[in-house]
Amino acid sequence: MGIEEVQNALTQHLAGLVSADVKEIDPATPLASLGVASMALVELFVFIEKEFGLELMAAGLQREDLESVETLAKAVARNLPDGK
Amino acid sequence: MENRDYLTGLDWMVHAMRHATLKKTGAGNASQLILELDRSVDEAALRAALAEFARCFPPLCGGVARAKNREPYWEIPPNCTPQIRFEISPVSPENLPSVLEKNINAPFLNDRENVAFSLLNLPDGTARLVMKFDHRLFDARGADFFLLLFSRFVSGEVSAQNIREQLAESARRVPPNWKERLICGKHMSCVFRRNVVGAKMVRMPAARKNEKRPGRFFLYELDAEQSKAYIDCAYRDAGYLMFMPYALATACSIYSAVCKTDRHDGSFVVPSTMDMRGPEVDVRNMFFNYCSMFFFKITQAEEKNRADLLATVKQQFFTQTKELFPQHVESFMAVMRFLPIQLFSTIINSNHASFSFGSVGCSLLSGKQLFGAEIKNLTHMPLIPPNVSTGFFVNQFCERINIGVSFREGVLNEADRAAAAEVIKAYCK
Repeated sequence: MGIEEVQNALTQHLAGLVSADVKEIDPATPLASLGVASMALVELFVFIEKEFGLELMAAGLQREDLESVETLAKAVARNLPDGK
Repeated sequence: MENRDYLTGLDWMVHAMRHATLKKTGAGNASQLILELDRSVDEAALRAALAEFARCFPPLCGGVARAKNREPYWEIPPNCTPQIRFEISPVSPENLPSVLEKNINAPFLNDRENVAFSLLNLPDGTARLVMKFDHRLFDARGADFFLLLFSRFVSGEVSAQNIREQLAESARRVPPNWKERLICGKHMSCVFRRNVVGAKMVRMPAARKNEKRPGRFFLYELDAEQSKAYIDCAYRDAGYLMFMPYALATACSIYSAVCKTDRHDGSFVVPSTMDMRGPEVDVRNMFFNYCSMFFFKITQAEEKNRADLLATVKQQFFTQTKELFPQHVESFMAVMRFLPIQLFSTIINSNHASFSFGSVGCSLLSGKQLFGAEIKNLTHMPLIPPNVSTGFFVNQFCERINIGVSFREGVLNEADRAAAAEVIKAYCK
């Protein structure tokens, strides 16, 4: 799965979490500016585990991985097992 | 019938807590927001604006009633004229904390009064505007938005007509169906058994005595530098944007420092309220309760080490979110709405917690003005139910963090105030 597909899936899910239109979410916008706080971030991690099989809560992501949908998508794609 | 707002499970739980606390203390399940203003405001103009603003909101004079099918709903008397009681008094800086405590411990005037305002004028020309509210009508963020709306109303950004139109669009709330509720109750009982029933729970001995005691508060207002240090530490130790787990870990460490019990091998059991509304609050979801609950269990071994404490809080936060625990709590409580209030409030009143915790997030009033006065800070003072006896709540205003400890008289003392301050200082490093 490519970064773009991961990014689209994350954007779509995030839109629901922050009650925004998918088109309104710029993948480069900081997550904090979109209103993402602890609860929404954990819900995003749950979605990532269900959708991509990655346990990011325990994976020790760096702050730069969580800056935006774009950086998070890159981190997810980087951690995906080969062939997924 | 179609225009009724039915109570959700969480609304019903809040109503039951009010019933229980009214019986024991005379004051209900109330809270207050305190706006710190850099100058006093025109009292007559404020009184007139509040009266006009109140008239937009018929739910202000409502109360709980049951429909013929036993569903509880928010009943608004026909032809009611909503009013907000407003009092003004001078106060000295020395007396301010006790005046605020007295205000929140005083009962509302009657069963249909749900909101009251006070303006406290200080000798240095600054003031505190206090909004006291019944939790049946507002949760913490709902009340925060009500004040934001009032500031917009005063500045002319929104009119009474705008507000009435938005209120008319308000989504009426209908509980989930029976089958869904019962399935959710089954799911909920797993987490509840794991974290509550199966835990040997730590409680402070004083929490069990004389439940008629008034509510008391310790408020810690971190300055800009301390707040920045606290948030930096939260993001370093708990992870980026993981403010809530860090704040809960702080509360656990404070409780550990002030707990006057021989711990043995007991655990902390901590119900934590979480706003399920997402980042947006508006007129349509301003009234009633949109919070749900997580139940954390912290063992003695975990609580001794900050890294372990944060790890277990984060893991339980993740697991319960994944298991949809807060949604199951809501649905389970929806079933409980059919119990008589006397019976349900007795169940609610039994001991399920070492202490409670709430993290409200950033105030919507950050950076706003009211009648030309700059709002310097906003703090919350929620009364804690006597059976729980100690609660922690955290909110942010602009770049500042406020940490509050709400407790019942006799549970904590002045030495505990200092001990809690030391713990907070340690969490800024």
